[in-house]
Amino acid sequence: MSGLLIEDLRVTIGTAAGPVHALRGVDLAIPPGTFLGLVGESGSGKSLTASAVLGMLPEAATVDAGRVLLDGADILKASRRELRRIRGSQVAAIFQNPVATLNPLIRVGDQIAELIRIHRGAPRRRAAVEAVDLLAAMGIAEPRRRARQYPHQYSGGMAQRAALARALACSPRLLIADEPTTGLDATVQAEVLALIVDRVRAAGASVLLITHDLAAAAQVCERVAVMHDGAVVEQGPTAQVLTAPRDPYTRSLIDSYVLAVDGDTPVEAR
Amino acid sequence: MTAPLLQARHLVKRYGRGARSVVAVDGVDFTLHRGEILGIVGESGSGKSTLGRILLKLTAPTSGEVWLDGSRVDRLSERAFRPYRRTIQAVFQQPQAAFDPRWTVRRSIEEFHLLRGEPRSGAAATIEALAREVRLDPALLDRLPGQVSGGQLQRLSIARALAARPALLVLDEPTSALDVSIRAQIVRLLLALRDEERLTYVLISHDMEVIRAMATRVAVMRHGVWVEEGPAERVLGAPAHPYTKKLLAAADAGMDLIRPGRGR
Ligand SMILES: Nc1ncnc2c1ncn2[C@@H]1O[C@H](COP(=O)(O)OP(=O)(O)O)[C@@H](O)[C@H]1O
Ligand SMILES: Nc1ncnc2c1ncn2[C@@H]1O[C@H](COP(=O)(O)OP(=O)(O)O)[C@@H](O)[C@H]1O
Ligand SMILES: [Mg+2]
Ligand SMILES: [Mg+2]
Repeated sequence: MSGLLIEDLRVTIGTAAGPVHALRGVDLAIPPGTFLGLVGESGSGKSLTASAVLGMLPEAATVDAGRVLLDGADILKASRRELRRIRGSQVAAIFQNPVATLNPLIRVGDQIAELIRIHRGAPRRRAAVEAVDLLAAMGIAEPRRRARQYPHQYSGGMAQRAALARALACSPRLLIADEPTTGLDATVQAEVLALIVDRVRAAGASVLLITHDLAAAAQVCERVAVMHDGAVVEQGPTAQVLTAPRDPYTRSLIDSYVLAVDGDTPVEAR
Repeated sequence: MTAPLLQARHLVKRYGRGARSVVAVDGVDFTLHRGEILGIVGESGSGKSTLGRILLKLTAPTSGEVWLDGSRVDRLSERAFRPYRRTIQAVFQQPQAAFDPRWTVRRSIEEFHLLRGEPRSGAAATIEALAREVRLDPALLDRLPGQVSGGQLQRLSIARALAARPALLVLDEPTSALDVSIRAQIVRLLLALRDEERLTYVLISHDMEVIRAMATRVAVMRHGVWVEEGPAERVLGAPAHPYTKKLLAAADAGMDLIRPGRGR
């Protein structure tokens, strides 16, 4: 089967205070070419789930059970070498802090060109040209000049555009976006979200959009999954999950998200 | 006629000098009456926190005046301002900042209580009453700040602010570091406290949902300037300035799918 399929993923993390059962049986499916929004409060296990898909679980983590199938192959069984190939070409990621995601010591254009050379074997000169084209495709003005700059010379919104350029450089089938707009200004958030949708749709890839912003998920995702305490409590078509949730936790999450109803008096003591 | 609780008269704040200086607040005027909740929205760098700090007398304005309860306070010495410190208190985004990490939260609140010249006797009872006021189990008072959750610590920082029995709270992004369910609890708490304690708020937030839920008046700030100000229903329901419209459109995208789901 193609796309992403996570079955009964159970992960324990060893900590000074003892083992933490961080993922307690995660089930998740993303059909090819679709957007899934993964929502839930902090600590519910969203980022850890993403790490598993990227083959980047922390050192202290143990997989107790489950499978993570990416286009049919189990990531959890892949060798380091296979993982290096998979990351970038099959799955890539952007995170909340794009400036930290990019390598601070390498010019932005060079970081993107390097990936293109490694994964696609493109000659140096061509990779450099493609990197500039990619920056331009992400809506970065003066892409040639920008390609020669370092990440710290970018604003937050622009750095996220560059991180997206790097993530999409090798045409991954799945993009993981973990809180990609958190911390950006509202109007910049809207622009970055629209860009992700536009570029990923154009490439026909799928997206795992991790966010605490229900409205963002509602806006761009066909499907939504709700995570709570290490498990997915509900997943389905966005409109169904958000307007007719079956799980009481989903209901309470939506209720707390909506603080005021248009023109109505503010929240009363509930 | 009682005097307005707070007045800002053409406040300007310039950081730095010469060509590299930044005008963070660029001529802000307003009058705030008791019981109002003035919501100040705007993107990062628009000058909201600087304005809040000027009102709290944590930053001196470059020019302009602040009037509190009928008296001009921006020029007062720290000593002369001390009585007003009771009147105006603050709650910030990171509640950690209000507590010493090595002390129990009780001790931090107590210290604050004593600093204001309150007698030590009765302090314990007062502090426990404050904890209950913010809907916390007083047992939490004996923990270190690192041993309570972010939402609990924000309640405790509200309790600390209330210890002074203030008339006015400046709330600078009070929910921005919190999860959505905790955000809702803090918003409800602040609204209830306003009624119980007859408080007035200056509420700084980039979160339109929080502004919508709480503010009675809204000011939209951009590059240090108030581009639009008015009753909350008017500014949020029929914005006049293109920038306000843009902010509201960004905040409302996707909400239509979520809002109808909530039964009235
Ligand atoms: N490297 C780690 N070491 C110890 N605990 C961790 C680590 N990463 C995650 N956890 C724990 O796993 C749980 C899920 O974390 P995470 O996936 O980051 O949540 P979310 O992204 O939903 O906020 C939390 O309880 C967190 O404390
Ligand atoms: N202490 C300071 N020194 C110099 N510049 C500052 C200082 N504090 C804020 N600024 C600048 O003033 C402007 C407004 O900042 P701020 O009041 O923090 O805005 P907001 O709270 O709306 O994000 C920004 O350009 C910021 O960089
Ligand atoms: Mg996370
Ligand atoms: Mg601020």
